[in-house]
Amino acid sequence: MTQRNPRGKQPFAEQFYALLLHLYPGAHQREYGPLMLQAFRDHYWETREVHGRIGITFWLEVLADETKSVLREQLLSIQGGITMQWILKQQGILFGLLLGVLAIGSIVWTNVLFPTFGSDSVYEIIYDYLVLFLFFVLAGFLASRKNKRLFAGTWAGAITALLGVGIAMLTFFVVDNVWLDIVSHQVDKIYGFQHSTFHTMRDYINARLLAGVVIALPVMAGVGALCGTLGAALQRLISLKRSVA
Amino acid sequence: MGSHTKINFQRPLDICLLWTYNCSMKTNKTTLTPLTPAVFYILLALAQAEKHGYEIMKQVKQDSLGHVKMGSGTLYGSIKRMLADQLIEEAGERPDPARDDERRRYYRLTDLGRHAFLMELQRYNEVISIAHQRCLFPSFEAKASV
Repeated sequence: MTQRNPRGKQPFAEQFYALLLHLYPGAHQREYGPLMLQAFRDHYWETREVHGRIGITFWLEVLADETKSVLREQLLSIQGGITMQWILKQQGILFGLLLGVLAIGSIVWTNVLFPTFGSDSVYEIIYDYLVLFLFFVLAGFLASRKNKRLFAGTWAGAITALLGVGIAMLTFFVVDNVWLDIVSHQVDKIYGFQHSTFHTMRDYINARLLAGVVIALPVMAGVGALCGTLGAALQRLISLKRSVA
Repeated sequence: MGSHTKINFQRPLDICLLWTYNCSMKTNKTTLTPLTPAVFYILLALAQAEKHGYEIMKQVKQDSLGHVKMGSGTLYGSIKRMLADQLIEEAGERPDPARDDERRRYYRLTDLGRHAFLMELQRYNEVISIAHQRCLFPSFEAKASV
């Protein structure tokens, strides 16, 4: 029988290794922590018996192995837990970025390069929103292609809306502040500023943008989720018809 | 066990310790692709008898001539995934008579694990035969030992 520690106290090495085990995900730590500590203990004492002492090489190998393993297990615990959600969200992220890029182009085009100072007509506003909602529906439709789940579409629509509208709001913030001299000639801004309590056009524009972020962003996220769900429902309907045919 | 050919390699086949293995197992159907060295050597260690964690670590180091060193982290990460894929199973807890009276968890191969291991050996065997036929590695010393 190997005499591990005549005094019965846990050596510092084991205490240190036990601390390292806390870096692992909780589930892995609970299941395999005692076993890993046991294996380490065996390794430690056997190395000490064979070589007479514990050298730097021992610790370098232990630390290298644990670093690799901790990173691996942490990554796997994240991926394993939300793999499907991660995939779903990626669809929304791609569409959201695409919408954001389109928004940047459109905002810069109509506010800086070829500015239109008149107000948009009701039809133009309705058209713009319809295109936006169709984008959300398409995001939901494509996101649920593989797993046919409505939830996939909901997530994709919401994230598309959040990202796309968020990027648009940010672009408005930059454009309105940098090119204030151009933007301040827009009729709706002049009208709004004259009927506000703000002293400068810049303050008025930024306050409007802040209100837009606080109110419009969550509302659009909800709309995006609804449209995405609709897109996913359409996908399921089409798949069902194809399978019946 | 009969005669077998022991081959000395100048370099090990693979010293890359990948952290997982490309082995997808579905119930009653196996699609086996090359096993990583860590998994292969664990299966090799368990092929003879049930072993606990540290015994597996030592056996792997011995079988790989020191080229595959796995610490507790790599070992139990691999064991976790091999258990999930039913390559190995737990064989109860009992003290190791050679060490002390501390209870240790033993592992053994499942039928699936044994099958995967033999498939991998077969694959190695085929590759070595091809290499010999093509005289690709003339520095191999093939020894036949009884």
